Amino acid sequence: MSARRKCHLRAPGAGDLAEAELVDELSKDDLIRAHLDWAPVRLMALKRLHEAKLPWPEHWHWDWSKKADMLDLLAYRCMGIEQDGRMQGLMMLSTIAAKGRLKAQEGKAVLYIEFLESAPWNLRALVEAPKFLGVGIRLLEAAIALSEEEGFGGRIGLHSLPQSEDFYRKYMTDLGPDSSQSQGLRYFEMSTEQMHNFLEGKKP
Amino acid sequence: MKTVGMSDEVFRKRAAEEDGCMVSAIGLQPLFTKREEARHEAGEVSREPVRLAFCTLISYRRRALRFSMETLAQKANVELDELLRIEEDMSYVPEARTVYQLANQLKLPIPQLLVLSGNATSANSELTEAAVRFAARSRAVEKLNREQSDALNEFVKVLVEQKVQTKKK
Repeated sequence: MSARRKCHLRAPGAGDLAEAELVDELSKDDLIRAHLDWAPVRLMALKRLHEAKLPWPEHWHWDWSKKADMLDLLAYRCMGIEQDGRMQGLMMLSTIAAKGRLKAQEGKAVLYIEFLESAPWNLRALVEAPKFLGVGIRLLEAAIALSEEEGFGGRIGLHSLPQSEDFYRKYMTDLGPDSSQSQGLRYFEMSTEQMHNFLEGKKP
Repeated sequence: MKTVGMSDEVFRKRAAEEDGCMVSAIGLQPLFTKREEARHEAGEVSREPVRLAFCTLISYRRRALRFSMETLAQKANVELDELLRIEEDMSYVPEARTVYQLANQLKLPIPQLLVLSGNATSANSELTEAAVRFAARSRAVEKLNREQSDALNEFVKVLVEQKVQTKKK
């Protein structure tokens, strides 16, 4: 059964921090609802980008309702951040331990993030004034917490889309393009030490 | 969920760092989906979930009996690095002798374990289906929680109840 935990998001248009909730286990219906909420906003934004001849985000075609079937397997779990009844960000995690690739933690269990996305109205590439900031940060924080809970020492790993690499490079180690990933995306891993730096506001 | 987190002050700083960034991440081929679809299209019957069930069964059963890896390796007279491969490497097929020794120490039925380990085949689809269900329910964590213990007990029950006519490979 899912649990909810209060958290904050940064709300540039409404003062400072806005209260939100981290939902730690979403259902298929939650994903379908989020898709129906996000799709029209994303479509409008893409129309605007097309007219302005600006590049589209690489994940423009993602459809979380199609990822919902993954939740039939206990090997996957989906978390989200909800604010005022709307999903602000989603993250699909693999609960089967991945093996660490960083030299210092080679072979150790790592929590692998399958998908991570912020709602379209929170991305400056899609809207002029993002509604909330820090959705990606909150989701990484939740992944770290789950990694700790599962006994993985806060270690997390993911493959980043090229447009997101700069974000992950701030907090994780870039281990370069991965030939085992279907699109050859770069693999990023956060060590326990980097996790502490991330949470304590220090430089990685 | 464990409360590991950052202070509001750190969050404000990190959220500002996120401003203007894309954060999308995409995973490997999801387990049991694309690779399985490709194999299915090629007319192959995949053993991947069965092998995953074998690795997980050995690991869960060892932990349920409170054996460390070293203890089980010693009791079963198996090299520690081989036991590590058995628990972690889905592609590794241990010798029948090793499976026999592990089955004895872990109190698991030998013919069924020979099938799961890839040393023998069986026409018993119920065993394969139970293995697939178990693999799908498995979570690789340090300590078994109630859900994992239930999944393990249910699978061991099926293993013990199944009459398997094995054919050596």
